[in-house]
Amino acid sequence: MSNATFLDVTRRRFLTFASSALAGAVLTATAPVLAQSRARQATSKTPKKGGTLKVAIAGEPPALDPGFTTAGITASTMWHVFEGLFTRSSRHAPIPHLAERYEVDQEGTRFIFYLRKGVPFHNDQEFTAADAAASLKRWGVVAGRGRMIFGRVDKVEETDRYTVTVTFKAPTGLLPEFLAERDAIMLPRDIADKAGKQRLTAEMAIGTGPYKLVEHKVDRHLRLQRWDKYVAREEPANGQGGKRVAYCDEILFIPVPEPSVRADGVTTGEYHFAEALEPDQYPNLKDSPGVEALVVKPSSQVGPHFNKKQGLFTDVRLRRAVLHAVDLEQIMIAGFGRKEFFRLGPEMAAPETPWFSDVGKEVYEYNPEKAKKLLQEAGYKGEPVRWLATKEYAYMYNMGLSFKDQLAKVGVNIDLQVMDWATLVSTRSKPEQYEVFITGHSTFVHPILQVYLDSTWPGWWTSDKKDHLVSQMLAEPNPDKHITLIRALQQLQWEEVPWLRCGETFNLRAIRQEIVGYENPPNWYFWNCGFAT
Amino acid sequence: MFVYTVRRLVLMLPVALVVSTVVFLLLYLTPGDPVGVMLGPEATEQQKAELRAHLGLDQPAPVQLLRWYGRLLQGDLGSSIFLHKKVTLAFLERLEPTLMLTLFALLFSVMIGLPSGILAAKLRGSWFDTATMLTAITGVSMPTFWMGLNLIFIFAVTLGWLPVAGYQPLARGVWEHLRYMLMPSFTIGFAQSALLARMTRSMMLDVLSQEYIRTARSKGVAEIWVLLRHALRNAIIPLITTVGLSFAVLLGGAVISEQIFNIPGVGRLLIQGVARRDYPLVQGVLLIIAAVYMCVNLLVDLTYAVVDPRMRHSD
Repeated sequence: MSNATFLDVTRRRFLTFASSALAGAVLTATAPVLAQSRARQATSKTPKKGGTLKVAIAGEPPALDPGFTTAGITASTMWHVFEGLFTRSSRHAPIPHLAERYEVDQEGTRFIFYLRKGVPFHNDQEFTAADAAASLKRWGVVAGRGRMIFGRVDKVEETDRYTVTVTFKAPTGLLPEFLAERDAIMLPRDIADKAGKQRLTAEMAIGTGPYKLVEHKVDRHLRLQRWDKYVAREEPANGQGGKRVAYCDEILFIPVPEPSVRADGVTTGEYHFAEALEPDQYPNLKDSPGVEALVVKPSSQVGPHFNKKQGLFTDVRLRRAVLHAVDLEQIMIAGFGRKEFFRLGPEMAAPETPWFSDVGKEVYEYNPEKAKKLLQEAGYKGEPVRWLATKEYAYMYNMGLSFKDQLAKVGVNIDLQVMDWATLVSTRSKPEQYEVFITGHSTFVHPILQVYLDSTWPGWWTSDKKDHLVSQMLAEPNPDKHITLIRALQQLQWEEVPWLRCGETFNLRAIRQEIVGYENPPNWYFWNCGFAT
Repeated sequence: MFVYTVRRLVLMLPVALVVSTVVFLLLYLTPGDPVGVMLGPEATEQQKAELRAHLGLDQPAPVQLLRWYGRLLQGDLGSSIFLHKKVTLAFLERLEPTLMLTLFALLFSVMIGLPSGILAAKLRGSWFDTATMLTAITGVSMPTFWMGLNLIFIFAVTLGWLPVAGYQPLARGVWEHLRYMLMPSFTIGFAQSALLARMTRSMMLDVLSQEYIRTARSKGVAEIWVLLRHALRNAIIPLITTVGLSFAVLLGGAVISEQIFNIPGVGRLLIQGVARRDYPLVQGVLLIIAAVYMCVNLLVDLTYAVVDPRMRHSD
């Protein structure tokens, strides 16, 4: 997911509040994991049934359909309602969820999914292979990742009432990684067929999750109610997977665009949980009675993406020059203020995941002399570099300022263009209009899910070597062989520098101490948690 | 009077046309489109292009403008791209919070501004006068959001008397409603009361120095009646304009207050609309707001006629 950010929201922002919806969206998607600095003491206690959990979210979800929009806030709120065939374990690896188990042939061309029996949708219909097949097909036309996978699919068949077979034209062993993403939702067949490419409306929000949607008042709240007929898996909870229990009667997701109000709301007990807070608020929250401040890691990696289709940065020497010209720690301090809220490193996935590697650390160095030499070799003569920034995500602007300042010292002339988020998103798709923009991406997903690997995504990383590695990874059904391929991809990322990964930032959240069972995962969820007895 | 009213009503039409055209053009000249925001940061270019076509956003601007006029003629303000509902309905759903916020703010501004202005004029040069005017200048100069955040810190976070933010509709009980409305309406009402106090003071000073006031005093009219019946009655006409304009300003102020205090009113609807480039919503809501402004102006002018008989005859 692009765009980390919690930190991005400054007070100045509220006039241009636009962002908030986005911020939320974004944030939560990229949102973060286990608070390692402060393990929650309350997690061992079992919550009681009942109560209304009030969650302050950073913005209004732009849609209720995680298949339709890639906005993280939609996925984070609605995955209490919708579930997929797979979800992720505490190590972020895919594990079956609505699928009981699956089989794959050695080539990775044929998957057989055996579904769990007796799982009811919120409309009381039982979830069967017909629903799964229709939902997979819809995912294949509506979601970006779904389309990519379905480009390789030969056919999807209901083998029997509880079995679905997916046959591929080309080996696609990595399928479970994609199905564990939150956009691959299972819907009743009639709804999946009817919605097709269009977004689901509130009435169509029928899933199998522990909570059902009962009310959506835009900008006021999203009200979920416990689904009493929920059938959970029997294994103990494992990350997002395993047994899910809905303890609260209701969950209210309340969009609160101003981060200080979100934090104050948790301090006074108005809300029980707030996401996407600012690092500046950390000391206060830490000292507030009844409140726990949660630093979430892993979270998201941030840095500038270069326009590699047109203009100056088509020359890899210039991209490398930027890498060596700046002190990345200073850049991250400019973006995120406190050292507790970031870490540096060359990795594509965080150390907490199975995909971590430190390959490339040797090129990840601050060396202005080398930068000057590269600039000279590339024949750079002070041409202005159009650098897109927005104050709606403050880190993008603040990091941009630090880049401008440091790059000026080696003679690079940055033209920092400040605009609102909606403008930035549209401008970054136009190769003739810019050279650089900053954004963020999750660090707790398999690197193949990084959106910038797609050569049509803004920045346009086209590389035969990259495409070859990606297709090898996509085909490989054995997860153990992936780390070798990931290392090679990471090495390539530091050679070709399609973007400059500056480091990883951590999200900040706050929770009331009366809420127990919450484990602070990268993407928050509220099953298995509730009010203390 | 009747002719005057009708003429004013008819004149509102071209103004509405200009407003809607200007708003339309401004939005289309602004880069960015709703599709990128709706589909999220990782959407593919193909998905964006398809949605753009589905929403009719790939049509040239003049075609879209004509469509908008066509619907307008049928009394249809169109449907919001994001909310999946008619703009008129979206507006009406958000009206209660904004209306209540504006009314309470107006109440605050009149209750504070009018008496303190009158007293300051009466006690001109006294410590009260100085203190009132100092407060007024502070009130006018203080940014609304700063004041709002400070009120939250004092009354919600430190004292815990009032909720930090949010909204409870009137239907949930008057007290509950008031608890949520107090800080946001005071925040914008206070700044406006400062302006009103200054206006009242100077109007009253003008009137109090006139001869008929001296006459009233010399014939033994009690000072309170001199102030309220003789002076205020004459000072109030320009003040009505100020109060009327205040209503409009407060509606505008509601945008910021709604943002800080997380009130789901028209102001937030509009800001969200702009941020998401929800063209039909922004156009429709701005048109309605323009119509409200025009109606308020008209009402103010008509009130003149009621308060000041001279106006009726001059028509």
